[in-house]
Amino acid sequence: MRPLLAMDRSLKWPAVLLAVFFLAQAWLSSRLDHWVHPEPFESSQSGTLDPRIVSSLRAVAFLTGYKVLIGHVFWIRVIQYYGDAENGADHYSKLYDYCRLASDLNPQFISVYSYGAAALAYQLNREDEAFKLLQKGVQANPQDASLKLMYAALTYHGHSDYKKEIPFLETQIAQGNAPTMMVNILANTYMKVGRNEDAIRLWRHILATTDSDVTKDEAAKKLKELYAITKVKKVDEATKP
Amino acid sequence: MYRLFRVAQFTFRELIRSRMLYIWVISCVVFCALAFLLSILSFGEVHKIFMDLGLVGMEFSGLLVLILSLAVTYNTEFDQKAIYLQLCKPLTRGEYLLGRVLGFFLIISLVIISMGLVIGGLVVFIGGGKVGLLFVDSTIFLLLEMLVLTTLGLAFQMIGTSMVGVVLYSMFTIFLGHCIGQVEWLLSQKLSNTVKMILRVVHFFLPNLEAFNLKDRIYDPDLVLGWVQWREAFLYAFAYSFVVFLIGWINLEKRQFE
Amino acid sequence: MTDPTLAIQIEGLSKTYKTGFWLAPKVTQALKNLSLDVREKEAFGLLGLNGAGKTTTIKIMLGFLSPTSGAVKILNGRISDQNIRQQIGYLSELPYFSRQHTGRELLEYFGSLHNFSGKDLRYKVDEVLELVRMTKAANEKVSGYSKGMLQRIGIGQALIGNPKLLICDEPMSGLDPVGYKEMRDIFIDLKKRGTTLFLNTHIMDEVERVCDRIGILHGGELKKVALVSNILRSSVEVDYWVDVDPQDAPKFIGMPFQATVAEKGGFHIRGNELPETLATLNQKNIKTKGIRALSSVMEAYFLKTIGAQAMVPGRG
Repeated sequence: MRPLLAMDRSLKWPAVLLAVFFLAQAWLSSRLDHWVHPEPFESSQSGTLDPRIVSSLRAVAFLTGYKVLIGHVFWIRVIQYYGDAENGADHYSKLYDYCRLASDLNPQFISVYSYGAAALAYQLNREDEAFKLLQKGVQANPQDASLKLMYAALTYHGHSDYKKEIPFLETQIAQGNAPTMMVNILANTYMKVGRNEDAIRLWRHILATTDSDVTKDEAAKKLKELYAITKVKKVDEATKP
Repeated sequence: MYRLFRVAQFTFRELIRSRMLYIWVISCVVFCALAFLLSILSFGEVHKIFMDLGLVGMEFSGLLVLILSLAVTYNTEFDQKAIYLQLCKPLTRGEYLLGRVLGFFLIISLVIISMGLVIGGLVVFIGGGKVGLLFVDSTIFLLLEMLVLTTLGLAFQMIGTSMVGVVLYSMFTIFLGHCIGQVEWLLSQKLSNTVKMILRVVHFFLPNLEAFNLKDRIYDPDLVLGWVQWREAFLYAFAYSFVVFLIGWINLEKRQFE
Repeated sequence: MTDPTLAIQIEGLSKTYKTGFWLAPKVTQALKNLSLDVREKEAFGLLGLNGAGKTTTIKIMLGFLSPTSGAVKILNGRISDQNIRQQIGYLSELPYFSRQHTGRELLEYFGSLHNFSGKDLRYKVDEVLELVRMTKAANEKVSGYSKGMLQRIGIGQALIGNPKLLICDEPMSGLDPVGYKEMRDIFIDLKKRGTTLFLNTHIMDEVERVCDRIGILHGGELKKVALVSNILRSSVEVDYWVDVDPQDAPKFIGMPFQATVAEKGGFHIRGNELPETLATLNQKNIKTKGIRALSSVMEAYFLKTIGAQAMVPGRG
């Protein structure tokens, strides 16, 4: 009896098997293509960023299949870029593009949408870009409530309807996955509508929990302001870090 | 079958003793350190970062072990001619190749699974998260990818005439295999029919590694992973591996050991 | 044609290698119409210089190379047949093994490729280790082995399947005198047991002591096939070196080797001229300090066949 894995010199049956299995794998491969997203290496919208760097990083992501990892790299770039005060000189013009690229590579990266949109809308007054980012986020993550809440909040913010904005911000924060800057935004919004007690509570909480010196300074300043309005004594004590 | 398993066992022992597992340890340390660093830099979601980076680390270590093993064994088997002493025994060349594939796959699986356990532990105990079923699914898909790549690498070893060539072919195929999305994108562009036909042929020759890239879809709400998807992924992995195995085998049968 | 008494039948074997780029191909003919038979239980030595085509012959015999033309039958079958491979052992020149295994593990592996398992395998491995005198070092890693030990494990793996035919490519390569003697003893022992030996070599002493018959391959052509006993009995001329006192050089006036005597203190002479020359030296009262054969009969035969000369020693 011929052993199982012995090959005839004529190579007839291996050739037939090869043909059959090649066709089978090609068919299966095309069936599995529904998981593949057709995208070019080059981003057509590198915007304010250097297209060579963007394309190189995208190429690395696509060639290695490490899109989520490179998405994290872009995300860290977002944070570094926004955390660097020097970039304030040109009003953080690249922030939107960094967020867009990070979310291109990992469309389920919720933090990118919420952090980016919050910064763009509330701190840089670039609501159009914030809306675009959020729309993309909601589209890619229809199940995610926090992005929808933020979208609603932003809509009311755009109309300066702060009273209606507040419940959406509160819900988003209560859900626990909002960026920390959203708490500051809510505290500011409380102040805008005259809910000073709530604002004081929140700023005190921020003062006690934040690690950022900038945020601490901001919280202390706001508390002083609020204590002055509400005639609360013990200002010094409350603003102690 | 007995000889086949002995080849697999011999290969596994050879690789495990050639300190391939150092790669595992180094990868584990590097990726855990990277995950810590990233989690500090990126404000929280530690368990997500551990998970994402862990899966990347598992794949990376598997690939590293594969590439290094291909290089080391090419030197032993072909440059130093250790293969001669085996092929003149009553061992068929098909048994030899399949045994090598199994031995390689065993060690790569060992690296990936053990690293998965470490990452899972870190996610739970340090990141404070839960290891979902998708993490396990991703690991199994990763193993399927490794089966395809192992067979491919060893087929290249049977075809290639130098160690550098084998390593380069394997690495190019790994990169190109992830670019199925870009090939699809090219196909959707306005191109001549001839170019499109060539692209389609290239598409079907390349391993569709994106079909196994569950780690990049782990948070995708549209991800459907039912019986059909599992079946197709498994069938594809085995069909492609078999095709590549046959090519490698035919080449080994016809190879001229000059 | 099948002849049950033949272990190897080579008929009209040619091999051409093509090297170089396709625009400027270079063709090398490694074997030219080689025909050769090796009988069962015979020890056959294939002699030749480096590049004569010996290794190519073995590679074709073992199926590692396809011939350009011609055919080979091993034990009356084809090498592609597993049953035939079950009956042969092969030792390559300077065998290489995975450095991560011990000698015992390697032999167990090769034994299992011959379908030995369990107790049979362990018994067989112990037996072979004993035969190749490697029992003591069996559990040490191969990475610590000397060349001689590696060669012994090499011969061990070739013998583990109880081969009817043992094919060895330069088995003495890289061995020290002790290892060389041990290996030669193993071959002699195997020959006694009735194993057919096919040795590729260029070591004449090995051929003389082990082989029954030799074939001389030169430039890819089989120049001669002869019985070793016949060669040793033949009248092949062996060259000699005669040592004399250099001070006697003036006494050599008129003789062709006067200059060599003055320079090297001796002279080179062909075997058939030796008695006459010694008589002449005796007449001239020249004392010889010694007479050395420059080659063995086998070597002389080989060199004569390929048209080369023995090396004349220098004087240090």
